[in-house]
Amino acid sequence: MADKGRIKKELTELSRDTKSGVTVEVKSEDMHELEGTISGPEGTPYEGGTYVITISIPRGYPFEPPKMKFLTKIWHPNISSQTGAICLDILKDQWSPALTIKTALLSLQALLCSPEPEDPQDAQVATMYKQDPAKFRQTAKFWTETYAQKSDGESAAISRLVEMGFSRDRAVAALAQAGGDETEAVNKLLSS
Amino acid sequence: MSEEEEDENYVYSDEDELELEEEEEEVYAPPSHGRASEEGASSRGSTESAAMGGKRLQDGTYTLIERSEVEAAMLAKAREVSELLEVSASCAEVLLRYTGWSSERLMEQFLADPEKVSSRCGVDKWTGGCEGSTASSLDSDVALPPAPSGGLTCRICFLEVPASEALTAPCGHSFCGECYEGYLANKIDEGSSCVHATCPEDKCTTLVPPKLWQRALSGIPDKLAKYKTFRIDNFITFSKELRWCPAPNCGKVVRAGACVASVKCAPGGCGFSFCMKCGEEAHQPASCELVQQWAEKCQNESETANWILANTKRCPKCQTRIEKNQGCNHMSCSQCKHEFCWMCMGDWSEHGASTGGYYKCNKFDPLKATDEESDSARAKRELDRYLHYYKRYHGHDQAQKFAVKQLEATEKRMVELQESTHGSWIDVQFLKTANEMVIDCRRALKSTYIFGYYLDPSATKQRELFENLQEHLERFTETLSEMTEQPLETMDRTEVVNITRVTESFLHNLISGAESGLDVVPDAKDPTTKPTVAAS
Ligand SMILES: [Zn+2]
Ligand SMILES: [Zn+2]
Ligand SMILES: [Zn+2]
Ligand SMILES: [Zn+2]
Ligand SMILES: [Zn+2]
Ligand SMILES: [Zn+2]
Repeated sequence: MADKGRIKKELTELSRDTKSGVTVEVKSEDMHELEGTISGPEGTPYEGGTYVITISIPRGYPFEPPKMKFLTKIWHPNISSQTGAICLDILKDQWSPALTIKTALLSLQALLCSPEPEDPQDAQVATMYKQDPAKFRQTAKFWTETYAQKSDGESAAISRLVEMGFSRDRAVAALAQAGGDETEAVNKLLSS
Repeated sequence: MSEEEEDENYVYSDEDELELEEEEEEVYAPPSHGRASEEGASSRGSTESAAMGGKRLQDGTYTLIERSEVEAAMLAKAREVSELLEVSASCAEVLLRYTGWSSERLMEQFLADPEKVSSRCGVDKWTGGCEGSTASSLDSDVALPPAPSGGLTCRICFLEVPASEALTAPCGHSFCGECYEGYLANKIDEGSSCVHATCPEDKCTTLVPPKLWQRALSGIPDKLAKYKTFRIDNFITFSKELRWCPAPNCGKVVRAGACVASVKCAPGGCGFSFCMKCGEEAHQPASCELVQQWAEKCQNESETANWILANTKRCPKCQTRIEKNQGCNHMSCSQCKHEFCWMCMGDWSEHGASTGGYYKCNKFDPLKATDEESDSARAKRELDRYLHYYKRYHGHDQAQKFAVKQLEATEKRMVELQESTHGSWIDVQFLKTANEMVIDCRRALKSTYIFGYYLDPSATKQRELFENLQEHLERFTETLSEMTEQPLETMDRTEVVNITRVTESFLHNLISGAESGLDVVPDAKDPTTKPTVAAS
């Protein structure tokens, strides 16, 4: 019996808040399906990006943690680059009923600031984070630009690849894989 | 239910403990040291033997105990530790859980660094000493601070609540009673881990004390009862001297003193004999490790399949399965008479002088072949050896199952015999004793084949001795088994009693012989599980 009264109170409180950079929108009538957004923290490769997070409120809420997942693709050691699944203790066994949807979203924002590669969700990303920090930043930044920014202007690199005759989807995928490195992306596209 | 009422159930005084000692009647010697039977009760020693709680049972004895007694034992152990560490009994219970109910390890770790252990266990903020717990119950000896007098906004439901409706853990964090109830009820639903529930506040590590559980769940007594059950289960699961009877639907608990290898769930239990150490069916003379290895080996039926794959192939022409039992690679199919090479499955007619001669297939590496051939030969020999032991193990297992079923018939026969001889119930007990002896022997014989399988093959002397003991026990078991199936008219009571006694002494000889040091080699690399290609 998830407490509707409490969810309502949380939502009211959230709608008043304009400073923290998190928003929540109700997606289902019973208020069990929500969608949150967080903005990429300044000084990180995620800066300038807006991340959409699907939130599902379990029946046992607030005694059980809300289920959260990144809808926006993101390059981060603790978030699956494939599924958006999150590895964060407070969304699992460290959840406390005194925490809220807002505090959970703020914790996600904090996670973007300080990844924990020792407890990875995505091994490939975590390996890159540890072994090649420069490439990690470059890739994370490219993913931010490609997936987390309003596409009011196509990235120049994508446009050039499309002009070369590759489909837009393939161009984006190749660039994402290559961390935004255009030459590497072209080589990938040509060799595949 | 009010707190006071609930408390009544936990009162435990020194008087109770004395009473328990008096009530203790059924202490048994395990089969390895004398069979568990009514006579076994006489083996009960001094007062210390039967004392519950922290005190030890006499070495080598065991007893079935009731759930209520388990709770008393848990309480007694907590109280004992509480006095030593000068903490409340509730606190001692938590600390004991931390070391798996080992007082020795707790004393060691707690005395080394009490703060560290207390905070790791979440009891560093708990107040209340051992005095509180001796006088009253285990569940109310931790003081709960009052809620803020002006009331508070509950951090879970965000509602304003007066102080009277709030509950506060020893850390000082308050929440409304309703939220506390929901929180702890949810923990109960998560299962046995609920005993580790901490204060609902974020990052607070303070464990919720039993008193707070009682207050919060007073409206849902069945949940509260579950909490108590989980605590007792934890005690049973982790106490070395306690064990659930593993028989399905039994639920009895056995308490055993030191050196008890196996116990029987009786009297008043289901009669199943099991190992105190590993919880499997009693398995003397084989050790727990060997029994586990053996179980894995038997479960791994692919072993036999591997052998078949290594030693049989299909005819490349008609697909008939062919088993190779000679060293020669020139195969001739019994069905279609096709001739082919066992090594490469090629047509034998192609194996002429140009390819290296009829009996030297050139597609075959001779060096590898020698290895593979010997592997396969070893695999075959090893399999034969395993099957030898397995067949006999299995035979006794089946016979044991039969003897267990026979018990029912035996009860009927006892009634019959009593009626026809106008004797007493005691006079016909020998039938049951004999039947039970057969069961015990079958179980032990089963294990002798596990023991024998792992016995060091080079220890010829020991093997001879062991096999001799085994052979005797087997012979007497068969005799006794046959006797118990005889028609009542021709049954000779004296003879049955005598043979039962002799068989029992052989059983003990074998077990103590095996225990007094016959070397055993562990299951090293098993050659039969290795995939082999070549033929022998
Ligand atoms: Zn509340
Ligand atoms: Zn607290
Ligand atoms: Zn039982
Ligand atoms: Zn065992
Ligand atoms: Zn054939
Ligand atoms: Zn050949």
